[in-house]
Amino acid sequence: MADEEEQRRLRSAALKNAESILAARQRVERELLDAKEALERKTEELQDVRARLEATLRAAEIGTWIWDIRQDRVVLDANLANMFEVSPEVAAGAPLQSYLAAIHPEDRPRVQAAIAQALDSENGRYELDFRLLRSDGSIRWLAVRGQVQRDATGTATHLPGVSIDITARKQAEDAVRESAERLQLTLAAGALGDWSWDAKTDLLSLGTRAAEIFGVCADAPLTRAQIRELMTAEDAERMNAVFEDALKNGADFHLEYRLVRPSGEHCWVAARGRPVYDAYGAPSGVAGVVQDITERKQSEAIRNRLADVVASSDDAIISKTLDGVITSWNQGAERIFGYSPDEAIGQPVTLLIPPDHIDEEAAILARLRRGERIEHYETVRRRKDGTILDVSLSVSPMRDVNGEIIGASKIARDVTHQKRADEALQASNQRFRLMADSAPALIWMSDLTKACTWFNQAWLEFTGRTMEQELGFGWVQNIPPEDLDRFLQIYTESFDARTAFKMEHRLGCHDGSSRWVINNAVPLFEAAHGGFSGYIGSCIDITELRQAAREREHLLQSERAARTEAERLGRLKDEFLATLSHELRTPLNAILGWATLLRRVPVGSDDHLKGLETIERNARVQTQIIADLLDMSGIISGKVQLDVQPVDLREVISAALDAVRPSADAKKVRLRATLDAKVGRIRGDANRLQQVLWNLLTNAVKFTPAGGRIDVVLERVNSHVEIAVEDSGIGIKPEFLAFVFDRFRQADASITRRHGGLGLGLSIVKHLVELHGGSVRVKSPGEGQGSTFIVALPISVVRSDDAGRHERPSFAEVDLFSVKLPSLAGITVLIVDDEPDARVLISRLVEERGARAIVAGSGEETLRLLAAESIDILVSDIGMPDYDGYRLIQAIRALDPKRLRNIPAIALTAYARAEDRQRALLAGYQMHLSKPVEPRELVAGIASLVNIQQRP
Amino acid sequence: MRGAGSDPALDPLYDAAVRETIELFEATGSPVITDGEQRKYHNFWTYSVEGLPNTRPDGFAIPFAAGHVRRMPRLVTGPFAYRRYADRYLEQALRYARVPLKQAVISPSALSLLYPEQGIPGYSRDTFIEDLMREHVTEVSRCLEHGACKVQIDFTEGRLAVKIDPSGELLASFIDLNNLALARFTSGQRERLGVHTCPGGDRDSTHSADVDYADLLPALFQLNVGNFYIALAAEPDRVRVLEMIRAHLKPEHRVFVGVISPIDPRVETPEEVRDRVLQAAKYIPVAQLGTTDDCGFSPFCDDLSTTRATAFAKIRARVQGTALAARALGVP
Repeated sequence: MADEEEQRRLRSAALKNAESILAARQRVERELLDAKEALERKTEELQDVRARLEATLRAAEIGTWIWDIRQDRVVLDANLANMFEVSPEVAAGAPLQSYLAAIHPEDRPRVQAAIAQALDSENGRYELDFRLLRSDGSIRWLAVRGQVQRDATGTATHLPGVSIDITARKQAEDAVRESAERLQLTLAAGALGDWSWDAKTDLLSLGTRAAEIFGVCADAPLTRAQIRELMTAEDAERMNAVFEDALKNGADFHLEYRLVRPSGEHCWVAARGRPVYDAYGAPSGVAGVVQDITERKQSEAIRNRLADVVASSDDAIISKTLDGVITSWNQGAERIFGYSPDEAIGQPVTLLIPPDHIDEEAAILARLRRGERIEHYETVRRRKDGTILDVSLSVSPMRDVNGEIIGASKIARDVTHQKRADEALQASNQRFRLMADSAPALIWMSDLTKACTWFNQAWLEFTGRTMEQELGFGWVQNIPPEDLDRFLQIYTESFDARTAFKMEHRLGCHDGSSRWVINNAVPLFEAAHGGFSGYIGSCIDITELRQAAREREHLLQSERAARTEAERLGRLKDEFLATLSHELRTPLNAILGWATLLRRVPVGSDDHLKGLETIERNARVQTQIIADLLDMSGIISGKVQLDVQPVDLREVISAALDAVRPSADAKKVRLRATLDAKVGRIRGDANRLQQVLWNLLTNAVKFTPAGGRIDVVLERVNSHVEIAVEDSGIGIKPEFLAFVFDRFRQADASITRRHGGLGLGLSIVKHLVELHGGSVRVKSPGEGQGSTFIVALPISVVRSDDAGRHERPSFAEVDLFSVKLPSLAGITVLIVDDEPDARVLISRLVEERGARAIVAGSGEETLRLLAAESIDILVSDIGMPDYDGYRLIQAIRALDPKRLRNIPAIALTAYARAEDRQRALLAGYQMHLSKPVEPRELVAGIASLVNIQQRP
Repeated sequence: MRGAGSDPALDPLYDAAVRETIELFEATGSPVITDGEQRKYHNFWTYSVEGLPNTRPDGFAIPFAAGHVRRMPRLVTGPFAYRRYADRYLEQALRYARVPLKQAVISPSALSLLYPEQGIPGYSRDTFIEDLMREHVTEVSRCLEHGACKVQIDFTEGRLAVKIDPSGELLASFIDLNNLALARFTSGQRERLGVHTCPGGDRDSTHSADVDYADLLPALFQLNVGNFYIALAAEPDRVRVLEMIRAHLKPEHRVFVGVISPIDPRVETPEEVRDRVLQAAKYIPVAQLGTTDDCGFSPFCDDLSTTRATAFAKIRARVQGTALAARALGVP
């Protein structure tokens, strides 16, 4: 039942869907119906349009055609069929070739080419005009336009188009062209260009010649704005006014105006125009001709300028006949001689000549008749008021058009003032030269050609040469060759630019030496008209000044370098102090921390022992730091002295390896040694060499990570031995290699943090090795690739007797840790120290070995106890208030009796430098031990001084 | 199932299955192949709407003769849109195929049964029908654009419609709906479209084998497509069906007759196939005749009835048998 119900619902749902599908179908059918109706309407409209179009084409004598390219069938409409004189049957479809036969033979190739091009080209356009040869022999012109149609593959399928009969237009065009050609010939004959302005379009059309005059292309008419651009604003206004007037009054016009051609060329044109009217008598524009009148205008301008020049000249310009009668008289003549033109013209020129010079005129006229010119003839003339003038005359013959001399033009210049000025100038020059000769500077002058024209006396005395030797370019010999090129370059360039110059150069001196001068020169310009006339320059000897400046600069540089170095050292010092502080505080932290803890833990417990070990280890670290510092201090001050003995390097290396082995083992770093047995003894300080090896090995262990290895190789290389310490550690950056042996340097801050130390070890190594006459070098392929330090030591001959001499015990032999300590039983030790802790500590140390300890906190107390007690040995601090250790021992050594005076004494002090040791021994102590002291060392020292043999 | 795709973990397995199917299919010599519908693991009917968030799984049940049903999803809210288009399967198959590919899609009439009897408030049946046609056209267009040589529209519900509504009204409505959608293609596109009809092979069973082709074929040939894929091999009276085809065939049609019965576990021999083709050629012009399998081999996730070996043996028999028939008919 359930299945049946489900089937029913399925059927019901499907049938309800069917209703919706039916509705959808009806919608689509309605839409189709609507679309069909719309299409029918459009089809009808299209048919109407087509009918109208065909009627229009017929009326316009436009024919339509279509060429089915694949079928090669050309279909013509009735218009074209008529034109081609073909029957309707042929017009309904005939091959293209049959139509080509009707085309004028001259045009046929063009038509075929145009068709081919349309088929080949992308735009597919077919367009040309051609002639049709009709059966009656007449010719019809056709303009055809077509467009190639292509299918989806791009293949040309059809070429439809239209054709228009343009015979009438062609004939009209021919007539117009002939008429235009005739007009152009006419205009060419008169050098005229034609133009016309269309009032309707406001465009100006130019004929070929007019376009040439305007400098534009004849093909395109010009707008009013374009015309205006070719004219000045003033002329454009005038042209506008003239046009308006011509149109308004129907009058011809003539206008001359300036043109600026598009090329930028200026010219003058004369335009003539006449209004043109349309069929209704309304003005339709203006037509006219234009002529280039530039040459005429230029001639006029020249003439006018000459007239202006003559009129406005300061000189008197006079013309006269060959009889000496004045024919023209300018303003200059009036100004100079005082006669007006009316008074002068027509008068004999002798009017102006003083009686005592009257003969000059006849001579002048005679020369003029011979056609000669007279130039700058200086003489005197008389003014109207009778005063006499100095004048300079230039007279030229004047000729008529046939070249006949008909008179003369004369220019008379009043030179009275000039003559006075010349005299004044001479006096001024005389004064200048006097001053220049007496000046301490070396002065020179040159002319326009760069040649020198004058030197003052100081110059000649300085160079020891004569004026004649120096003039022109002789002075160049005074410039030393090393300065000459630069000098000439500056001299020439300044000259050419007319600018002042200033340069320092050497100048040959009369005694054969060269001295530095500073040469200042300025261009000279004439006061009257500003023309450049040369240079004047002066040289001052600056040899001493330059020397002083050089010394000053040298001092400045030295000071700068010193300051830079001081700053660098300061920086290094600061960095070092920071490092030192860190290195000293780090173990202190452990010491102080454990010291506090120890108060709270039971004696003998594990923590107690661990604390003590930690304190001891850190104290030793501090001791090493201080030892390094002292070593470095000694090295810097040159106070390290080697105790040179024959040394077996294998022993030295083995001892150093033994010393670092515990720390290497703890870090799981493998130590290997390859020591060449053939390497003999060398001469050196065993302890210092061991220090070198210990430093290198300690360094290697420090910078080699767990699981790494360190190889030590001893071998002989040529004339020296080499000890190479190679590790597989962190390596060294290439850029740091050069600084590895510098004091206080570690690779970088991060390494400093990761690996402690003062950065002194390698510096000490370098100095100690160098003290041995050797060298040390380092190589590393780079970070993470290990390092190798190579110590090279010279092999010096070890004499055989050296080998037999008592050798200083090796480090190992005196190692206080490895020997049994002597007992101090029965010995009374007086311990002097102002620090109570130190007194207690030393007391405990000696008491542990059986001695009796007596303590004193000051010098006075010491002296009192010495007198009161039976003391075997004195152990004294040095740095104490009021009564220091030096003063104390000096006081003791001065005591009486002898027993007290000779008491053995050990200085136990924190003053640990070599010089401190020396001072202590010189003051009277037999032994110097530095704090913190190794208990074993102290006990051994006491035992040694009281001459106690090792006891069980 | 997550998102519009399958479980990414299964993708490599499906990909391998598609590649293997295509290799085996090509090996049979078939000139046109499919991806074997390897990725329609849901089924051929609802692959495009499986997992739509606006559906519920309690839609109409399609009962099969063997007693099982295929239950369709039920649309609960609008709007309606496919969750996936079949061109994504085609795209994958094209990576491996070297011969033309045919892509099967479900017809809009089949999916019209998603809309419930009582309607959906706010989403009218008319709007649903419009959305459905748009989605179908989109799917077919995408398949054509991606390069399917043919797109076969599965119209298995044609016979089912007659079964549900013997009056024929529902079938006519289905034909209308499919024609409305087909009208949105160009004639050139429709030449590449075909309609498949069969009694609905699934788990070696059918939903409408009892419906007489006489009630279906006249309406079927009203569909505005160029190709018809008609199950014939399993028909009890093939000659009768061929006569009906001849009666309704139009010159522009091409008919691919079923010569292999996928639900028959026995593998046909090439000679059997040849004879079936020669028989069909007596009723259908050779130029309009093609061969096909009655139906797909239903590789859906819960259909294990036919092994892959059997399926390809049957296809190989079709190819070889068709070749024998072509020689006999003198077709090059």
